[in-house]
Amino acid sequence: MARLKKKNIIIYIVIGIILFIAVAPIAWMVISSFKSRVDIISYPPKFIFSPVLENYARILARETLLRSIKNSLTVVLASLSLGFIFGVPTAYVFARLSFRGNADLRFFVLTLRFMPPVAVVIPFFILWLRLRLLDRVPSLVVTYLLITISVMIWLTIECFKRVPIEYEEAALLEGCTQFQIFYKIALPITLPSLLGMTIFTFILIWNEFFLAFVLTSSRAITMPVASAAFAVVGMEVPWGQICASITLLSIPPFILAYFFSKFLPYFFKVR
Amino acid sequence: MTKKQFFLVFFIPTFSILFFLAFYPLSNAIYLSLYDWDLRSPAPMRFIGLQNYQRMFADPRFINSLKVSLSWLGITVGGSILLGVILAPIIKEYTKGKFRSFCLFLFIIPAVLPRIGAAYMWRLMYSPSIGVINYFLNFIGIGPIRFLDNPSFAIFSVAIIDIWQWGFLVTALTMILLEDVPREAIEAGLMEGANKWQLYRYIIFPIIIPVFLPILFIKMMESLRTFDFIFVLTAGGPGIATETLDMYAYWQGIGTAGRVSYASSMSIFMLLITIVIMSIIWKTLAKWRD
Repeated sequence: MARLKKKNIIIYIVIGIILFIAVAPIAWMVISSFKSRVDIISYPPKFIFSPVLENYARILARETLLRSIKNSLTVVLASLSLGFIFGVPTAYVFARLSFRGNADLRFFVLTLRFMPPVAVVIPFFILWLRLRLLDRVPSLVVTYLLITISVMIWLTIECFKRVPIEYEEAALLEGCTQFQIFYKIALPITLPSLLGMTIFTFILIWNEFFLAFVLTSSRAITMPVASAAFAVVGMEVPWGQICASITLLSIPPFILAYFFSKFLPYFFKVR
Repeated sequence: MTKKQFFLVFFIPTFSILFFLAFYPLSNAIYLSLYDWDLRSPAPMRFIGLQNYQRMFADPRFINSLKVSLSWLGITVGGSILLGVILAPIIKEYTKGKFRSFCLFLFIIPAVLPRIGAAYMWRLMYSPSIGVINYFLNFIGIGPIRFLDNPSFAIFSVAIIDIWQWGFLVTALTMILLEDVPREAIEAGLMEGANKWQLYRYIIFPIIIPVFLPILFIKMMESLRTFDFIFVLTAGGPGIATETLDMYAYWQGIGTAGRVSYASSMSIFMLLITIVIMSIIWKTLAKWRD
């Protein structure tokens, strides 16, 4: 019995270390964002220090960062709603209507998500440049539709397939049109999964760096790009400000992660 | 509204948009790749056929980036999957209830962190002069290690961050799959006298593998396209030791050189590899489902 306990204690220490490794880097980033310039570059690293808000004050005084927050919110909301409007009914078509090429088109949708960003970004860079739309929010949103529509279609097909077909058949007998079946039956039943899917897409777009980095520079700059820009401002890397902007950038995904963890089981079913 | 009308009203517009968004860049990239064009030079576009592709395979830097991309793929996919497969059963066996959901939540946290944020965070921690990792290594008499400046292991230093994000996510997903294994199957195994290892090896893993494989494939596709980490941590350096395909194509096309046509031929090449790998995956999955 005592031996068993001893083994358990070792296991719990191991689990503790694993959890520490998962979270400590993030904690270190948040802690560093409250350090003064001197504290952050001192060695050995300071674990006890007097927290200051100067990093946050500095970055929030920058017009670029404020604009990037506004842009990021606009871009995410616009590309999510457009993705939803175009993606979700299409997913329903894939799930419920049989037509020639259904499987091939589904594969096509999946490939879109995995197109190498470099292959996408160079032609779009030239297109938006020619149309004088480079570094504009609408052009970034249109480019992101490639990701949002395809991801939303892909994640939603399975959800619609799980709606009991009997419900829809009953509605059809009652004289409902196809749109009413979709809107009044399939949509409400799949709502929890749809929320999970929307959260996932939100995080995907909110965090997107490469496309935004190439397609925006100042007017339409998004938050990840603005955060990365701090590093090249001066000679010395302003670690405090970088940590502060990254902490701000991470707040929405962290909040959503909680809900995301609740919705995850909907998407992974063994049975 | 009939089925047909529904199809016309919703499906057609969506696919018009998707076809444009997919084939516009695709056809343009193919078109550009057949020309010689430099954004920085006033010279007009010149048709050169497949010369960009020939040049690519004679370019040692391109061959290097191909090798770097492949090792990046191997290290990050192998590392994340291994971490997930080892950790998930441990957590599953020794935790329960609220504490287990708490672990699950903590494992998802690194994955939702913006990659650009993770990159800067780790760059600060890796720092040989002020980094907290070297501070701890100092206690056990190691270091300071210049994690990102050493050509032989810089790629591993960067890959660790990817494994930190993805490995824990794979752990979380695998935990969810383990929860879902039918009790009867486990009990049947226990009746036959299987030990823990045998139980996982012969009963539980075969049950979850059809759902686990897609996770593996998604991770593979994600690893094929990685820019953020390399860009922030090493920018392809030291030298070209960590220069992946996207990184090289980026430098050539947009970064400094402005050779969009050469970069386009590289991106078309990447696209071809991606499509080939995806088709193989698609076929494999279809087989597994049957």
